[in-house]
Amino acid sequence: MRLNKRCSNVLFLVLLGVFSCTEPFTLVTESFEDVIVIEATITDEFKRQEIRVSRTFLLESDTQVFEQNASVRIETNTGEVYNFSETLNGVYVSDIAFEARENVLYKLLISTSDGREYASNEELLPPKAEIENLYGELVNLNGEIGIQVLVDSNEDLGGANFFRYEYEETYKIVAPHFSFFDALYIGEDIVLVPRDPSKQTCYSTNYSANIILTSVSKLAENRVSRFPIRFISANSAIVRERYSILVKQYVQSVNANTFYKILKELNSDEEGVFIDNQPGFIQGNIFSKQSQNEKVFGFFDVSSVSSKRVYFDYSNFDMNLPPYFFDCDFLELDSAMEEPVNERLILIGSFRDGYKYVSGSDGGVFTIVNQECGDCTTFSSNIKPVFWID
Amino acid sequence: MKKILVAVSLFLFTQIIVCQNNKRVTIDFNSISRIEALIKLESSIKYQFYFQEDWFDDTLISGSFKNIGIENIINKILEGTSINYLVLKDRIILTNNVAISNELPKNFFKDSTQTVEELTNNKYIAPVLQKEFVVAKKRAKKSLVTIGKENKNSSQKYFEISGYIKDSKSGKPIDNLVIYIKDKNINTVTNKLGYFFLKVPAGYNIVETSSLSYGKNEKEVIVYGNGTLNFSLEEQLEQLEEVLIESDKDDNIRKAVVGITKINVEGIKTIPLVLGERDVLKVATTMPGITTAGEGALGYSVRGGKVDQNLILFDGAAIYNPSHFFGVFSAINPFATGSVDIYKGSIPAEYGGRLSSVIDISTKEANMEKFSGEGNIGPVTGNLLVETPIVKDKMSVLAGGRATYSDWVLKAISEESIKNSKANFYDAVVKYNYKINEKNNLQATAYYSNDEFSITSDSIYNYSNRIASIKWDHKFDDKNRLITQLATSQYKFNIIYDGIFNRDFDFGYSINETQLKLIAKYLYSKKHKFSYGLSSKLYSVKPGDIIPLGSESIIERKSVDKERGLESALFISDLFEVNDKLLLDIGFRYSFYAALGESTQNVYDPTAPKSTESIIETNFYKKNEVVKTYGGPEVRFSARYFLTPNISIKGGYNKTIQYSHLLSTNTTASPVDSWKLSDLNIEPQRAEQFSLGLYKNFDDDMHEVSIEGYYKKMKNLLDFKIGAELLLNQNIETELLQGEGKAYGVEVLLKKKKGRLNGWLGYSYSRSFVKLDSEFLTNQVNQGSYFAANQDRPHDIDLVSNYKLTKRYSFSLNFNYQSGRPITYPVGKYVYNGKEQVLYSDRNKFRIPDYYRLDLGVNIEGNHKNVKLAHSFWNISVYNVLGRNNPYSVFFVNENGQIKAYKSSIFSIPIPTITYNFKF
Repeated sequence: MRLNKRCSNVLFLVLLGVFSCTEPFTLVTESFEDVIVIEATITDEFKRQEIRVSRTFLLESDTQVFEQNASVRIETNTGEVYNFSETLNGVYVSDIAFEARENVLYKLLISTSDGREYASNEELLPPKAEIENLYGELVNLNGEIGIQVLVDSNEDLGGANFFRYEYEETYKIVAPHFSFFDALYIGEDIVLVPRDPSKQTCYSTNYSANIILTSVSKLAENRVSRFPIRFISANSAIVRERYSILVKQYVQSVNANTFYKILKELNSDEEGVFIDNQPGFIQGNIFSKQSQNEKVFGFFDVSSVSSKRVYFDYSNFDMNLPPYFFDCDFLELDSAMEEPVNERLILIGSFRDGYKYVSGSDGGVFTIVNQECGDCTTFSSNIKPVFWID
Repeated sequence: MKKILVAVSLFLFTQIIVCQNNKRVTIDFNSISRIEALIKLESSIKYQFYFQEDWFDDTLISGSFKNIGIENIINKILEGTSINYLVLKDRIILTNNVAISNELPKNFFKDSTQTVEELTNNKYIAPVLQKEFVVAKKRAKKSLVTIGKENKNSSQKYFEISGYIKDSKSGKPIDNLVIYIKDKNINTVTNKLGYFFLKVPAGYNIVETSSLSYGKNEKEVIVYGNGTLNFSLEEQLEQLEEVLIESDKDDNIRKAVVGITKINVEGIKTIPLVLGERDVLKVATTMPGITTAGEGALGYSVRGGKVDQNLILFDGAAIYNPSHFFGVFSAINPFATGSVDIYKGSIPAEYGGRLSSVIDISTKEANMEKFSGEGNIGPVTGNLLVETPIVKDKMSVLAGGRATYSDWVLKAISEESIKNSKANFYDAVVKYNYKINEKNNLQATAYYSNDEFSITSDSIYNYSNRIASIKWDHKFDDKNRLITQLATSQYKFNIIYDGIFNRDFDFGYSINETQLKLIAKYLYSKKHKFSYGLSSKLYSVKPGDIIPLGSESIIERKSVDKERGLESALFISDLFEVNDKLLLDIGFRYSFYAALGESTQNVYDPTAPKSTESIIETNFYKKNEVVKTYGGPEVRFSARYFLTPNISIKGGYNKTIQYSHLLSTNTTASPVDSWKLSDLNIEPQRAEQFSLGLYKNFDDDMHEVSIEGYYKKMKNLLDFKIGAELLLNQNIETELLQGEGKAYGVEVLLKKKKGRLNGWLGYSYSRSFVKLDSEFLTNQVNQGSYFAANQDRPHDIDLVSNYKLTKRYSFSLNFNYQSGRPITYPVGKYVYNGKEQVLYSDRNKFRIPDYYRLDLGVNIEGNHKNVKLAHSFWNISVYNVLGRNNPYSVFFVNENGQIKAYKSSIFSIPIPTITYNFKF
């Protein structure tokens, strides 16, 4: 229900569209506030649970600041205490694996190395709801054709009301101009050597970056149905070969939902040029024991989770083969030509620049291509994920 | 034409004045003018008459004389005029006013330098002598007027002058015009019919008239006796055409009301405005104390108040959103608008219900004489207004309409993203005037405005204002009047979402109000003028209902309970003129509000923050059952004191209560913000304002300087928690924060109202703060301390000027500077959910860059030929000549896990516009 914020979209008329403008500028921290940031979601999965503790950092900086040597633990009203130990990058992992259980109150306690103590409110595990269907559909989204990944929950939500989604997508990449040989320049000769065949097929994985939320509280049906999770443009190379998406559905409390909803709104671009939402500090459920006015950012979320994976590619839909990730730039160079242009030298230089062999042999004409088209490991990984099913 | 009688010294004739003539004639006059009668007489008696033609008016006389002495006949002819005569043998010399004395006054040789007043103080009243006449004649640049016929036997010190003042062009009487005798504390004003009556000392006087639109006019007179003095004044058009000015020229120093701004609508046409849209309300924002959040912002902030605290009246009916397209254009048709009065300091007791100000817009009276019209063609809209009498001088109607023709422009573009967006708006006004008789006047107004826009292809926004009002003005006698007014208005908006998934919906909101108001005016005496009455307003709000669109949609049909409330008030005020210097305007209003059922209201645990968890009980109320009442006295007091005739000091105290509130979580208002009535959990907003000002006019009221200061305290201002969900929220009070506010400031205005170069320069220093404190941490903002309100913009400088080169060409220049508005700015970032996010500062700790803008315009009047179809007027203007990229908002977006900062501005480049205006 918000207005879109994009220069080109605010065209009221051609004139106005030209006049109103949105332009980026460089962010500079005018006055820095150092605040502790706690990201803690424990779930009903039996595993070593993770909690991230970091601090705010300068707007112009790219280096995240982690809270080191903090003591992190979760206590329950049933007397259990789960201690967490620091691993890398501000991630604290529980010493033992455990799962969140129903009707138990959980509380997060953190004390930092400088002696400050933080405690969360007590939280309960919300009811569990399964994902029933996860599927893709070819749609036209505001003029753009593509595959929309949608989710349906099961019918019996058991009182679950607020949902947050995360996804993890993995796709197969096949280098389109793979050759079993690499050309090497040895001594004065260009020689062909066998290329590792595993450099033809790779797998890349992306994680959802946006906060995806929905609720059934305003719906007529008491279930999530046809909820859009991820849109893949018809021109996207990720569905060329085989694509897989794992969707995790977290059921969360009303307070957690409010927290994530505000966080999403304050950092999204779904606003109009003319509408400017009031931003501010988002108060979570974690507070400082020493000073009520100290800002503590973060929410201790206890949630039930369920997940589902689906595989597809472009051929499952009524669409054409999408283009590859990169444009393939072929060069044909005669290794024997020295005049008027020394193509042999260009050829050798191109190999050095990473161009990959396609065809030809020394003394003749070589066809070469930019490396991404010949070898997928140049931009992806050829390690096949353990879950992958072809 | 007869020979002109030269005003020679009459002493020459004193020796021979004894000659009496008893010649008798027989003559008939039948409906002829006095001059013709004299000529007829002249030819029959063969005497020579000497007179000046312009002494006589066009009165026709008749008479029949048989063998009557010529002196009797001449007496008869000159009866009722101020002309005396003298018969010298066969010559008859007529003199205006002066009776020719046959002896010298007793003190003639004693002191020839005596003034008139001294003369009139003498026991022996000397005749007004020619010598004084001559002296006066030498002093006067303009011609000297003589009044009354001298009566040789009179010893009166004072005489009565009456007269009639009319507009030289239209011939219409000018009412309310001030007339006074220079340097003598004698003055009066013309009545409705343009008549005036003055008691003036005999002898030499300077009679002056003074008004804003007619400027200053003076006539030097010698008063010989009772008589008439008529003025025919020429309207000083250049002034009206170019500049908006506060109405009656010395109102600013004379009236008791503090903090009033009047906009002369006719005068705004040369002010350069964006895309050529003439906009009365935008001009108002060039006055100190009235601001907007920016070019694309809805609403007006008056003296540090919020945008929902202004009562905007359109012919007596409240208008909720007088803007088109996010406030870029105003929805008030400039051609139909007659006057705009903005009360920002002391608000008359008859108005209430909003905290900060009353913006009273009146449409003009439809032309009772002939069919006429006005229109313009600009790059965005076309506008046409026609007026016509139905029964001449009795009944007339006015109709105006304005619409965009932008959609075809959008459609002509092949670019896909533009094709999908659309925007159009229109507004229409109809006004009906009926002068039933001398005592009864009726007027009715209907108004409708509609906006529709779509920014993404899947949603359409629509909002509209609908207004109707009827006013009956009844005069019981010269002292008592009753004005009865019935007004109704509606504001509604709609959002239609038509996407590709199963979540299509139609969301609608509306607020209706109907008010009956009775105002009686009682002119008890010159010292006391009373105004009293009552008003009652019924609100009905549909806070929102959402309807699924299409059979696929899984959106649940939902509607939030209707709200109703009755706001009533009794008011009385007395304009009490204590003496010539001190004028008091004492007003008192008692307002009373009742929230009415049918309704469901939650009662919350006072020891916990309001939330769905802290509800103790839920009460149900039947239809028309009173849910909760609020009310209170509202004192409206102001006073003026003249320090000198040109300098006045004014002070005021003003209290207001507001029972309806705009719900908004945005830093600037939007057309889809909804209004909510006070109920069990939402208390009315209250404010008190103290103001004090000093006003001075100089150079014949050509220049005006004023300085005003104010201090305002506000209570129960509405604000919301961050990220509050307001639409379709049955328990809005759980998101609500009510806090205190304070605002103070100083406003300086310098105006030049006449001359080739005219305009004004305004400066205001104003601050506005809010405090949102609570015993609960979640309900505090900025630790519960005062912080700058969204509308806090300390410095505001406005220059509006016009230079008239020739009758046809004039140039305009506007300059505006404002401190940037406060914003909440990031003070750091962090990673959460695998993404960079920003941490925001305390609310409104920073400001966006200052705003400044320069506009230039050239105005070309069509030629001044008398006979032509229409009078035309071209306006060529460039808005934001400097191309200043004034940021309107600053925001931060997470793009691919990285925080990016953006600033958006609405009109960041110079915008040239040509508008063609015509009038017929």
